[in-house]
Amino acid sequence: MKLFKKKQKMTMWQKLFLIASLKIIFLVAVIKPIFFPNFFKNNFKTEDSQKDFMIKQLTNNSIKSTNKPNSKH
Amino acid sequence: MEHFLATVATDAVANVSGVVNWARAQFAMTIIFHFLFVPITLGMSVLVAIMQTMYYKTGKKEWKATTKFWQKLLAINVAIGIATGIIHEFEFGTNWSNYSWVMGDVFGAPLAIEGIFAFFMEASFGVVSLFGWKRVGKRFHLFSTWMFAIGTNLSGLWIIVANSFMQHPSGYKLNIETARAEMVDFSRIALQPKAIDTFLHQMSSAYMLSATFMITISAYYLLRKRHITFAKRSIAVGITFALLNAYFLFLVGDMQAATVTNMQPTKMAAAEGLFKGEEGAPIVMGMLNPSIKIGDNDKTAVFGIPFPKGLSLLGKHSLNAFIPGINDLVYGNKKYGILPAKELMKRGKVAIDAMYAYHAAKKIKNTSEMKKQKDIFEKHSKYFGYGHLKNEKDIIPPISTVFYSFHIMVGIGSFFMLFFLFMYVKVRKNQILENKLFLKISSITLWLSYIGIVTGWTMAEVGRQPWTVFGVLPTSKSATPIHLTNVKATFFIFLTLFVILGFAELKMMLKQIKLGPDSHEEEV
Repeated sequence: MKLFKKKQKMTMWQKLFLIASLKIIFLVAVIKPIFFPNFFKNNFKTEDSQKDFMIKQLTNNSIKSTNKPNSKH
Repeated sequence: MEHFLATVATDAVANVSGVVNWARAQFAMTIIFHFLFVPITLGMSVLVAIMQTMYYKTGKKEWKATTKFWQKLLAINVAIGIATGIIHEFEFGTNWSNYSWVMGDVFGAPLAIEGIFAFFMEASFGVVSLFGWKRVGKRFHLFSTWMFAIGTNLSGLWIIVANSFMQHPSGYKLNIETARAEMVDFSRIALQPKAIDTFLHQMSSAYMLSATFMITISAYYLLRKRHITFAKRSIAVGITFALLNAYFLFLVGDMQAATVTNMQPTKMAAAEGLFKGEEGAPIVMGMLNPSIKIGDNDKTAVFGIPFPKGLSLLGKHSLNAFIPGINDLVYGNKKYGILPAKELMKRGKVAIDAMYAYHAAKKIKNTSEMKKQKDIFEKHSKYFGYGHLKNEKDIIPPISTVFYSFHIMVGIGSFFMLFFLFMYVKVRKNQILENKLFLKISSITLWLSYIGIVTGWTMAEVGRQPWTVFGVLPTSKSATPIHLTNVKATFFIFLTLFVILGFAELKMMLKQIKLGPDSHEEEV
């Protein structure tokens, strides 16, 4: 009951400060570590393995390509 | 949990198109929510600074009350909107890690500068401006308010610079060794015409939205005969600001149309529903033919009122200039030197093959082959993105979305030019209270502004498809091959968070609007 009365007395500025703080804590301390880990750091130990993964991602349709390198273009 | 959600999905569970679609939906939702607050902050910070300058110059208490009331609403907007932007940084690292790898070194620079402005200039001067009324001198207080406004607008500039790189990549080089874009000329990224035009267009539309924010609330008071003197002063400031911006928007919109026509012809062709390119191309205001398809040259594309040669004038600033249509861009046009999309895809595949062969040669330490492949890659790297497309028609963005979003934006902008001219005359003649119908229309201008600004960005971003970085990196290659569950889960978490924050913002705003400018209940 006392807590309720205290909440009633909060000024607009206190409410704004509370909303902004809770939001930042929720996003940075809860959402980020649980749902948004750094994909590369989480899956690859070295920068070279990260690079190899990306090269594979960007060239994975190369072997299927019917147009082989042609320097005349 | 972390390992399950953010590890590479194996081929058996990977759902690449599902991840791309959900990641796009999540990004669109988070950016639209974030963008509800941004234009009000950009524009109201300037308007508050103007009103505070009036108080500083005249010393009139009425200006002080007016400034403090709008500053209070600005503070609510900033507090609710704050940190909703950092969600995008999270998304870049997890949902769009391929994009971050390839473009991070270029894209990250303007974002880092934005961070410096946002956290140092905006935060420090914003606090002084908000809480310094009785704590610092009048001159330093005014200085802080202006510095907050300038800092806010400058941080907006760097976001636009980053976005413009995605729309028109320049000043970079794709490195075959690292598969990363490297910055070679910062000035070509920061000062390219696309960035300048978009910045001017974005800022003036944010100012327009803020002006209508003032107009809508002031019209509400006038219709209810409350706070008449305050509301008349505020609506006069708002209408003057809106009128200036309506005509400035027309000018910068014209500049931007020319930039888009030259740099992103597929976007302009879709925005105008132009299928068959022509000299002296018209603008047709009307409805897109729902049965027309790419490749149809004989069907009428848009039913409506044509403005002869309008599109050539808009896009090339010449009445008889040739504007390429969708079919020219897909199938090519020899006369005007437009290569067919199939040829661009072929050249792109040459670049991809060269990258593949380069790394294969590196494994066996064949340096001469590496050099040969590097030369081939550098010759074809500007087509790199096209090599990833599966179909020639993929180079065209979703036509109806781009067409209607563009036309709605232009329609609202044109209406504002006429409406605010009329309202300005009424303000000058002190007849603002005489016509209730126009006050009622004024009271909905904020919502029209929101529709205009969101449709404008929809045209810009959907019109950029199928690319994240135009011509270089397709959206389908930018997303991370992670489990779909992760993207879906965070989509609904953010949706819930935004509904709660949206209600909090509305409730607090409406309470302050009801209390009005005379309220000293919550004096700082």
